[in-house]
Amino acid sequence: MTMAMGLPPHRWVAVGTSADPHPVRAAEEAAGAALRHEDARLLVLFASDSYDLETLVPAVHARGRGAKLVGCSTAGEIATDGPAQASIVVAAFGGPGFSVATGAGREVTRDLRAAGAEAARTARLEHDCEHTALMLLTDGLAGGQQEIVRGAFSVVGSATPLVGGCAGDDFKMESTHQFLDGRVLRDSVVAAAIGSDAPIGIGVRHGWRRVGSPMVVTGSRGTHVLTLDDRPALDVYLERLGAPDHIDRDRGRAAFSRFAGTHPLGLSRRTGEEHVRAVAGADHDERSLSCFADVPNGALVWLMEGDEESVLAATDAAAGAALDALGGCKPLGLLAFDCIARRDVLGSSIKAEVDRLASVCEAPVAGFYTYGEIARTRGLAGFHNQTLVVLAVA
Amino acid sequence: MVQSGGSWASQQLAEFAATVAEFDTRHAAQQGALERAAEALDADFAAIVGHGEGVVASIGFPAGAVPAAELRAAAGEIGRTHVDLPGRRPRFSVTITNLENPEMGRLILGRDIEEPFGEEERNLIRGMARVFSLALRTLATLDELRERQALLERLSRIQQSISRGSDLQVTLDAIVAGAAELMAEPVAAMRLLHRERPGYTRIASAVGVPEPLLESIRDGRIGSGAGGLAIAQDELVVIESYGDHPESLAPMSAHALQAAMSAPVRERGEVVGALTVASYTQGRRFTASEREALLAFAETASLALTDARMVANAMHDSVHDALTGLANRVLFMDRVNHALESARRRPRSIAVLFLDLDNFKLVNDSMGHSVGDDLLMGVADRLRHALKTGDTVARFGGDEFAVLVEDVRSEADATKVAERILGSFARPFALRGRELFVTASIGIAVSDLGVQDGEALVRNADAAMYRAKSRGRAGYELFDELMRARVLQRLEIESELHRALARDELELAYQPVVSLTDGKVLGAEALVRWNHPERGLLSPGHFIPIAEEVGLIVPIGEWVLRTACREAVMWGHERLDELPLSVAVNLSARQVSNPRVVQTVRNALEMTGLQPQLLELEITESALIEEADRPRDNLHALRELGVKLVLDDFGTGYSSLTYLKRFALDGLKIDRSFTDGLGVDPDDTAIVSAVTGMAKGLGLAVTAEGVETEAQRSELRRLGCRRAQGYHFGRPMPAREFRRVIGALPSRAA
Repeated sequence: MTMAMGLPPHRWVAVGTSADPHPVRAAEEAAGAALRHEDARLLVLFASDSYDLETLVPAVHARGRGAKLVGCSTAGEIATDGPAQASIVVAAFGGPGFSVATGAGREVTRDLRAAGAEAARTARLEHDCEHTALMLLTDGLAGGQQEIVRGAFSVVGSATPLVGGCAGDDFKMESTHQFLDGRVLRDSVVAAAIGSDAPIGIGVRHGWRRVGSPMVVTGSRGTHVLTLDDRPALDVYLERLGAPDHIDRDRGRAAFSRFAGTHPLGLSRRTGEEHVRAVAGADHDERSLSCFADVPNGALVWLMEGDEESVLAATDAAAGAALDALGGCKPLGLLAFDCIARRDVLGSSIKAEVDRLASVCEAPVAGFYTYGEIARTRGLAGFHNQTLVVLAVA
Repeated sequence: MVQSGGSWASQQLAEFAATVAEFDTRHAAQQGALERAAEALDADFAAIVGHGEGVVASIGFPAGAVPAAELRAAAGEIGRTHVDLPGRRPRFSVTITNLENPEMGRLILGRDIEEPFGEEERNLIRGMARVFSLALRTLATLDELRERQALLERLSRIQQSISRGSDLQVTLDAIVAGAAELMAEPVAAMRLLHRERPGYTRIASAVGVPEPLLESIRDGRIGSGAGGLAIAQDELVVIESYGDHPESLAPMSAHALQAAMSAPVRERGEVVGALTVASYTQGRRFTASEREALLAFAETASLALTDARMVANAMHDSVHDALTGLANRVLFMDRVNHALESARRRPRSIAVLFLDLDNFKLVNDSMGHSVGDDLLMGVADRLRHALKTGDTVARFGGDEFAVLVEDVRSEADATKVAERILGSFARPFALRGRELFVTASIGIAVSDLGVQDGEALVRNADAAMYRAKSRGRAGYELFDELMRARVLQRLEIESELHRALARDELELAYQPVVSLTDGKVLGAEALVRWNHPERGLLSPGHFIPIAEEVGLIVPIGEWVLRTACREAVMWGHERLDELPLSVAVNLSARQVSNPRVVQTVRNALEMTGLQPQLLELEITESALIEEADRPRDNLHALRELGVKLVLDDFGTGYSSLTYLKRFALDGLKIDRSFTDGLGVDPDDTAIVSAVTGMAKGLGLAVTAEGVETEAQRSELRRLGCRRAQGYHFGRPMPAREFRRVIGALPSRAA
């Protein structure tokens, strides 16, 4: 015999932040604000690696009273009241309407795909839920992240959307950390499977525009682009974008990285929308480009650029798409995985981006500036660069 | 430059082709192709459904939850546009495409029902299917090459084990196991023709056949079973419906064997067996490459069998004397050591008899080698008959034989055997129509607690044999305590001799050689001495034979040559206005046959600057009658250096004039035993007279040795001898003393 429940299942999302440099006090402040109710199921922690993470993470986890925890170090934090640095942000998902399982895949650099698969396997929900998503937080410096996504996809299949981002280290590019419950991991992927009895929406936009005509990748090796239209890739890249001379002359990474940060490559897609590949660096002797993800041989690519207007337009579109996917349900909260390069374009307008996110849904926002974004709702391509990914829960 | 409009599909196909080309295994290519296709088309799932095999690869489904039945059903309908999957939201749009041939299967892609596949996309997918099929075909070829490589590697390992001389059974087992493993079948066996039952075969090696079953089929008729058929027909036999075959083996049919394949195994071209693999898998078909592989394994087995027979022969050859078929030294020593070991446990003794024919060289020289060989074979026969079956008789080379007698209770047991052997020599040997009486000398050594190893026992018997020879031949001697003492002394000398070289204990003495015409010194014979720290000055007879035995004669010889030549050069410097003096150095038979002797002499001449004609090398007759080529070649080469070759101790050996001619010698030395009798024994006078006359005729310089009296000197002069040495002219003396007497001697001797 079944009995209809008189009340709808209760779900809640809350966000807390702290810029207190002391890890225990910061944990107290942020978690205290996020834990609005007793029955938290999942805590998501994004923290600057300026903190003593080994103290911070267990402190936040302990506050959760049995709630699972995933999180990572960042290149800047995002919360309802704006972007920040050297701070922490905690999002709490609570109530019987949510089911959560967490897990991790280790030794990412040894085998990216296996680590992705292991994370997905260990973060298996105990029972099927009507709406699910698998959130992945990865070591952003471990190389071809698409393989991590494929590994997770091979376990959960196409019915479960994938979402998340690559951990950062405030642009030091040395090492990143992932958090699982009370532990601080490295070279890992942490995963949280989120099941809900209400819809979960995901939106993805980048906000870059094509520059000039497309080119064919005539030579590539994994993430390295050797030639475009049969010419050295770096020469083509700098010429076509009219890069100032010092970009090539200055072989230190800074000038080139800053320039490349706002000039990604766009891979041709079926829908007509590009798949963005951030240019990570250049080999000035080999005259090649290196990207954060694989660029297949034979691919059709565009050079891309963006400005404040196009980036903010993408913010609206991504949030809109995530909310649309809720099928009319009221959003309880948003998680934002925003590429660090977009912040570079926006500069001082960055506050405007977060304000827009918060205002479109009138719900709390938590997120971080990433070294790469994950969003797979269709097909297989789930790893993005220089893109904004928004997760909305109802 | 590529235009963006309308080129999406072709660009995707180019990307797909580039991606798929990078995979090097079939599995990786399947998985990679599905991922790439799904990525390009935003598909929610993709699968390859094989022909009769179900889903061979898929993506987009949770691990372990692939809806195989639904996918198989969908793949059956090529024109289908949608599919329902269990537990998934609405239905999916699908597109189903044939790969190149039915065996490769079909490709299915599915995506949201709201987004059906358009015509351009279907074209793209067909293009991808074609590219993918091509890649699979290439990979299949690659897989075949890998299989072939695996086969070759396995065969090469077996070949290596054969050439390492592994046991035949080990090799056959490796071949049988290798064949089973390569074809991924549990059962393999090798049959060989039955040794005792004509018309039958026997399993020599098998895997995967349980013991009772193996026993029931171990012996089989030729023509029965796959192996029996392969032997009968001498060709590859394939039975793919084993139970129905008229010649199938009943126990194997009852055991549900489904298929078998057998290839003939040959030895030197003749069929001697068959290698079979068999399968319990229903419907098992053997592919062309499997048939080839089995033939290759059978070929290897053939080589192994042929090799094994050759190895067995070689094993026999390596321990047996080719001429007589008796054991050789290697086998004999092995038996002696084994016998010693078991004798120690029992405890009993063993005896070794060392036998040497008397005057065998004479037979060889006078009657020819082939007669000599016949004699050796005849001796071998006599020895075989004179001994009990348990005893071992061996030929050590030349005319040396050895006998091992086990279970000896007393010396009398051993001497009885020696007497029996000597008794068997009483009858003459019939050789080429002639009768020849031959005698032998035997040395006997009986093991006792003092003997540690077989080598010592044989050495003792050898020493006893020499004693028998020296006591008049045609008899036997037992190795006794006195001989043991001598042997021990020799061993001691041997070790001291090593030390002597290192510590400069050797020195040369020079005995003048003078002209009987005018009394002037013509040169000297250099004689090596050992200034032994405890025993005093030892003459060459005390240590040179031992040095020869233990191989020290070579370094000693080098030192003697170098020192003598250097000394002779000094004489020249001190007597600039007089005739240069020559120096004579003895070369033993062993030195003459040493491959380095020519180089050694050349080095000595070059290092010292001595003119070659001032060096006389004294060689013994035994060096000349060696049959081998090496000493002969060495003597010729020495002559070409310009040194003089002189025959030492002429008259003591066979004194064959043919040697003098054959080797174009420069001179000879009359042994002291003839000089002794000069003027006393008319025979000796006659001999010396004849030798001198003959040498004059051959243009040889004659030197008389051992001249001790004035009477001998004048007699030699009378007989026409021009050169002499002996105490009458001067004893062997140290180098410094010899230098002093050079030039002083004529006045004393005139």
